[in-house]
Amino acid sequence: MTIKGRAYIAGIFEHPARLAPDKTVAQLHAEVALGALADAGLTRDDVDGYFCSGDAPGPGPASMAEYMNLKLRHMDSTEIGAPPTSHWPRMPPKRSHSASAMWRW
Amino acid sequence: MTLAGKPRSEGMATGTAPRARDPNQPEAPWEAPYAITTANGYAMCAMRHMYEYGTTSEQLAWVKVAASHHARHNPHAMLPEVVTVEDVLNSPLIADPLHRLDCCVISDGGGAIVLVRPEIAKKLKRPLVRIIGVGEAVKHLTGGTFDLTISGAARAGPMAFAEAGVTAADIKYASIYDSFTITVIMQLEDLGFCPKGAGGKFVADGNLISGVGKLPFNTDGGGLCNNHPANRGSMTKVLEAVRQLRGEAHPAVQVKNCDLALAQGTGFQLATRHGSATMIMERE
Repeated sequence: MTIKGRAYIAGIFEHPARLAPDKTVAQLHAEVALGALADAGLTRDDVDGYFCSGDAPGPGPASMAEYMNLKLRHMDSTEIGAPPTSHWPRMPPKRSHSASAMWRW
Repeated sequence: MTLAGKPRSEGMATGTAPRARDPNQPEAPWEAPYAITTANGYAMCAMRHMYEYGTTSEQLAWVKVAASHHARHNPHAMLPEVVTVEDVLNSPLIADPLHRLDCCVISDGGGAIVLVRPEIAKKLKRPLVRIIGVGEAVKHLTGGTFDLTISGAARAGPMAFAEAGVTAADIKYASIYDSFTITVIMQLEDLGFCPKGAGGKFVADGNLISGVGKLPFNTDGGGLCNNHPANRGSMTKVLEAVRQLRGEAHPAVQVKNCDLALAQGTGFQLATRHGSATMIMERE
């Protein structure tokens, strides 16, 4: 199983604020979510999955799912310092690695 | 998929104050007493890279210079002024050998992407950008046998390239996480854009500047000049890669015929343990 060609990035949004003392963190998350959906030509009602990492307030995706009133079939949250795919939907491993004990950095 | 935060308005000294860590982390007894700061750890990697490979402060500075040449076209960038190598070297030393201008900004903000299945993407009226390869790795201290000059990109990168069926030489644009200038040099080497140890020479003389060098990078200004919401660079790296693939980057920095782009990140601490992820995207 591979992600190759199975997922498209249809919408993007970057928050224009660089200093936002008057907004909550949840608000920032919701504003970028709505911005990316608008960019894609989709609405909140089209959403059936939500993924976040530790910067989303609350236990995993739960608080933000409620705050944005999302109706979800797929959700997850991971926290590993947030490189680009760290909160990616997990795909089953497609190749086996050599024994990790042999890894040397 | 969202990312957002406001460390700037919360007054967080992201890079220069020790952070509270979970005392239950197994490494805590050995590392917590030393209260390493983020800048300390990255400086240690930079110093080792200089020792092993002769990398210079001037070469590190070129990463920032390139980012600033891009940021001047971004109306939202926190630091839109073009800087020179001398400006970087003359900025205050934060953690030897890293100067203030070797460090990314602290900003509020955030970003989001919408992921859809192929059949939905083709019904929408946006350019088709698809993911063709991803890789993830955790680099850690392997019981004490480790190399400070290597990042997790050395594992994550080859996985992503193998899945995508392309090589570093095919990539037209790269978003490279830039918490510090050294972060970029190490990841470029580990991804195979140049041999290990040659990153300093690779980034010098404007080689990362769009329209000037061979590998245009972080054309939004990156974390070094644009923003670093929630103390993370992951999301914004993907956003600028998508803009490049769509042809929607600022005209002054848009890469011609950009059909293959890479986004690379590391998260947590370069000197000890960190997650690393590589994603390769293609314009269909």
